[in-house]
Amino acid sequence: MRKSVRTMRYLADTLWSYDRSIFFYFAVSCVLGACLPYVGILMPQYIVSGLLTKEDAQYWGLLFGILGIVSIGAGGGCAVSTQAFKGRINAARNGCFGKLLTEKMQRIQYMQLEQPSVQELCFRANFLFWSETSGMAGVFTGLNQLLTGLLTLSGMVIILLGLSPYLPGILILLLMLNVHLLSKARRQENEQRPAQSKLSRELDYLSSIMHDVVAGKDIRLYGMAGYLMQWFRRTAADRRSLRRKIQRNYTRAEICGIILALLRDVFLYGYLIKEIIEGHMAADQFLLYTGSASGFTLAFGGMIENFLNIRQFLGQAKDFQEVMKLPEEPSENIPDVKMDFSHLAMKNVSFTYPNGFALGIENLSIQKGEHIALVGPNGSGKTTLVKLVLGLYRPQQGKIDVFMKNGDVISGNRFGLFSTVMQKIYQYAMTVDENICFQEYEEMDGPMLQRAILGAQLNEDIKTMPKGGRTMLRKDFDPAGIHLSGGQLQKLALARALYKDAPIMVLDEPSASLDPLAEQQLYEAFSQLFADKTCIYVSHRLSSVHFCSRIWVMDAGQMIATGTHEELMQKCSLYARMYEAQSRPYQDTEEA
Amino acid sequence: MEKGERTSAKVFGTILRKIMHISPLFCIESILLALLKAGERLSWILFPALLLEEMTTAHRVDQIILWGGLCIGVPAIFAMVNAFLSNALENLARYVEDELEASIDQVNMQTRYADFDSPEIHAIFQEIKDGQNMVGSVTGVIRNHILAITQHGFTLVLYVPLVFQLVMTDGALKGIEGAAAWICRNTPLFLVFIIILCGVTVALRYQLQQKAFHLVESFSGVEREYQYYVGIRSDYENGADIRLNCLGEMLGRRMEKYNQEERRMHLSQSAFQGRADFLLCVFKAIQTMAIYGFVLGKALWGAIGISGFYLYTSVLSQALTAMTEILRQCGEIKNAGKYYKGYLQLWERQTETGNRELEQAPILACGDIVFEDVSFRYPGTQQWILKKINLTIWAGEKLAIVGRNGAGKTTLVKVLMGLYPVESGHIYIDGRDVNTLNSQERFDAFSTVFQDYRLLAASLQDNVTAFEKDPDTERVLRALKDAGFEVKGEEELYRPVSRHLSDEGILFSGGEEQKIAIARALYKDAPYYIMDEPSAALDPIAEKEINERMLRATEGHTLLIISHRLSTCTRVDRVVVLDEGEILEEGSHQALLKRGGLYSQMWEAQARHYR
Repeated sequence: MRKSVRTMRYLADTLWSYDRSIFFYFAVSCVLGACLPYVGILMPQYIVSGLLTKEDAQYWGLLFGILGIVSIGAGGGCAVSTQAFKGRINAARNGCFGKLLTEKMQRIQYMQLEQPSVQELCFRANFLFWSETSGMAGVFTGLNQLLTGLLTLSGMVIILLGLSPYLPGILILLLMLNVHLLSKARRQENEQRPAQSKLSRELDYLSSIMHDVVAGKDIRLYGMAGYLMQWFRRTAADRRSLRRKIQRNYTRAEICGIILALLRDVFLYGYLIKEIIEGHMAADQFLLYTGSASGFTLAFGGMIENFLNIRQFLGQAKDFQEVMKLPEEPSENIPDVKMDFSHLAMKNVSFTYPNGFALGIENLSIQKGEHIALVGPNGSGKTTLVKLVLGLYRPQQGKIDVFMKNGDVISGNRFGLFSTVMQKIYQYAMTVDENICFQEYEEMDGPMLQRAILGAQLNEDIKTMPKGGRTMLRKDFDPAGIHLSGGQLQKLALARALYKDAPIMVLDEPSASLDPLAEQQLYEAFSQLFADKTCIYVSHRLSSVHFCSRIWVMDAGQMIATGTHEELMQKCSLYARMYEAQSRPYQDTEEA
Repeated sequence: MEKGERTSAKVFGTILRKIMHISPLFCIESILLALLKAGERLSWILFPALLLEEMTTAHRVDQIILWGGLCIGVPAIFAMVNAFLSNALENLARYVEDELEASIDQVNMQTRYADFDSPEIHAIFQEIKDGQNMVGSVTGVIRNHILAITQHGFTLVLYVPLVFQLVMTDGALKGIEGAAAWICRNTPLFLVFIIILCGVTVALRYQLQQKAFHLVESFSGVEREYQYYVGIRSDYENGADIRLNCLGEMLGRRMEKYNQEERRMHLSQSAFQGRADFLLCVFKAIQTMAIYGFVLGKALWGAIGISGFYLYTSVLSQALTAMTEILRQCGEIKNAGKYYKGYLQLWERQTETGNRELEQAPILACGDIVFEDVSFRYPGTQQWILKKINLTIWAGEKLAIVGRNGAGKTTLVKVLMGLYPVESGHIYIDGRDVNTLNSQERFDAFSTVFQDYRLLAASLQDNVTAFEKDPDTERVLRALKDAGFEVKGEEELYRPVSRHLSDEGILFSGGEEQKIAIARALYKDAPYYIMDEPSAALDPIAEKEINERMLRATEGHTLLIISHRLSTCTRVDRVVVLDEGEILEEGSHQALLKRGGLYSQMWEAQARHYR
């Protein structure tokens, strides 16, 4: 309970700093909303009592006047303020909480972000602002209705006290029993929630596979459609039976609720009928009391519902708060790092994945201007080392330091130091120019962009595009948008790197999907464009070692040898075997 | 507007028929529940009215007790039956929803691949997805709107006798004069008046609703853009670009602009909605006062008693509510209809493949493959990807297809397998024109490793056997071994190959995944093998091994291999060089090297680094 209150504080504080007017509309709609049910209860009573006592025209005029004013004033006022409240709450979903989350996502340590459990957590954190009816919007609208209900209820209690001092007590007792049953059902639902969301995730996954164009080929060629359908139906049936179980608890609670309501009515009507038979009860009072009693139950029922909802929705804030506490990348960027880079040194670095794969580097450095080829078998830890160097991963032990010319060590994040061309290149739904610069047009450095496009030999491709550099990529926002081919993507990545113009270039398997001639072009561009930069080149194609001054050979998470090609052919048997395996077919045919 | 209504009616008519087909019980119980709910509402007002009647007039004790008892008992019984029925209906509705989803998925997997991968189908799915965001799931629409209409319809029908009775009270008012009396005497006229009032309210509400709907709809494009940015920003795969290339700052500023716009949208929408609600509130107040006033008039002049007053005010206001609701729900349905016409379009599609009978031997044996003047371009595009290809692949031949990026290599094999139809020309497999074969017969003939493939979040064994019912574990292990995949123990076969659905899953590297995909092809052991860049992600030693193993394992089968690593070509029988959709050169590796064409250029580009 105390935790719920704390979470509530957190949400309210966040909202308060975003938009205070929410709270004003919240209060107004509460008060006005609480008045409304009385119109329906008091009005018939006054009319019937007027009929019984045969009142004059003045009475009726006054009554209808009040009815008009109250229902239009309170009803209209409540409608306007509730809408204003809801609109603002809805705006706060993305505008306040959504923004906080995406900004946080951008700052979370990359290593954290890569873990499936963290991704799952971040996904669940979205539920806080995902919909209008749950999450934080649910909490505040629920709270609004809860308070409205409470105000209404207190009035009803006063009316019912007039009938019998015990009646409200009995009603509350019966309703509390109902609350107990409902919250039990709710608790059971919450217990089943992980199982249910697991099944839902499985179904979502299956749907995504069945809608996937890539998987569609395999599904057809290997005849998997029938099985996938069975899988889907089986999982769907499991989820249904789980939900049926949950539903059954609610139905049970509902039936008990009906029985309790029956009991309530037996008390109430029994008492009323007794009074009627004894002649103490006039028709208008009868209407007042039955109206109040059902109004009371209605308001109370709504309050229970809201109370349980709020408690549940507050639970959704937990994931959000947890994400907000995840460790972040260091924020400060070092000014003018480009000019003054001297060398990068690794000392006793060790890094272990949660799955146990460990990487250890004792002593390694990259001097300014060096070109390094990083080679090794699949799974030897090349990509992990690259991520450590880039600062995307943080070593658990040891240090990776970047030294400046004047001897300073960079302490903040060093992302500005690197240009990268990775194996997987993403094209974003923006124009080609924006895809290169990652800046809006007004911020772009025009001459630099031209140089980057020319350097990457992308100019010919851009000329053939319908709107040149302003052509949109992907079809998300522009049906006329285009998808770049593998070779073009490679050039795009190169242009990005050139535009960024950072002192260290990192290329991870850039040529895996290129044809031999395109690969050759890339090599040439690479040696020309980046001749004066520091480079790290990761590749399975050992042909790349020829334009590198030093080769690092990794195996099973260790740096087993470093040196030039000739040295390694002598002293590193793994390297010699790899080179042999790849070069033999080329040499054999030439000899033959 | 009329057209919109007709489409919606047609869409929901078809969907309802489909639902009727899936679960007739769902439809029957829905109608029953609507009827019972209407009955429940009636019991809420009827018995208290009778009780009031008795206590204000005859005041017979036994009658009072009887009506009082019914006041309590009847609604309780209704409520209880309804609770059970709702429960049953809820379960059925979930079944219907799952089956509707399944029907769409089935179409997805069994429609012709070329259609599946078309912008037209993508557009339909986008529309259905937008619909789910805007108006909710299709069963939700059916349950909320159509059920509500039925229920309120029943309410109106049940109230007809009561309203008729109210009309009959006019006779009691003879001899009273004055304008008020005239109104009170002419109940039908008054009824017409409040129905018109109700009509005006509904029309107004409809207008407002449409306007609000368009307001939201007009925003949905911007919303999509925002969701796309959120997607990028939250996807860890883009995390490196965001951190290293400052993509995040740019997206952040764009999203901030969106946030401002969205806030303006929400505020103007809610202000608009608030004004609309206020207006409706005024109308509602007028309506209420009119009903109270009218019935009160009748009571004052003695046409009806106090219980009559209670009964008729309740009946009239509930009937009006029912009428308003019916019209309102119709409006909602109309809006929803256009989002769900995609379902119809999908159901109308022909499906091509049935379930594979795994025991059945493939119809095609390993024979010659003949391409005769085969031309192809992707549906809806102008550019020819394949131009008059003539090529014969002999039974059991090992053939390499090489060429520059975009030369049409992958398209050639996709057309061969039947994923895309040829536009002109013929393909013969094992002497049979492919047009005489159905897709499944054709698919059965190929063991394929695509350049891009998906392993599924199922066990390693299921991935290798493609979910065969009784897998031959021996063969699974052999296929994995032949693909160069090291199995650490038999229990590894039963662990999932991804973490998508289970933390137990093993995360494999790209190289290992590729080996599993190759093992899947080997396990299927079809007469024709097609390998599209099978070794792109492998290290040199693994690449050499896999090439050797593949040639050995496909002994006696035809093997087509697409590769940029020309070292592969030295060990095959023949090399075909494609360029811009045409066969530029073909022959043995040695012969092509001597020709000095594109092939020898490409060879040189790679070989020079290894000297």
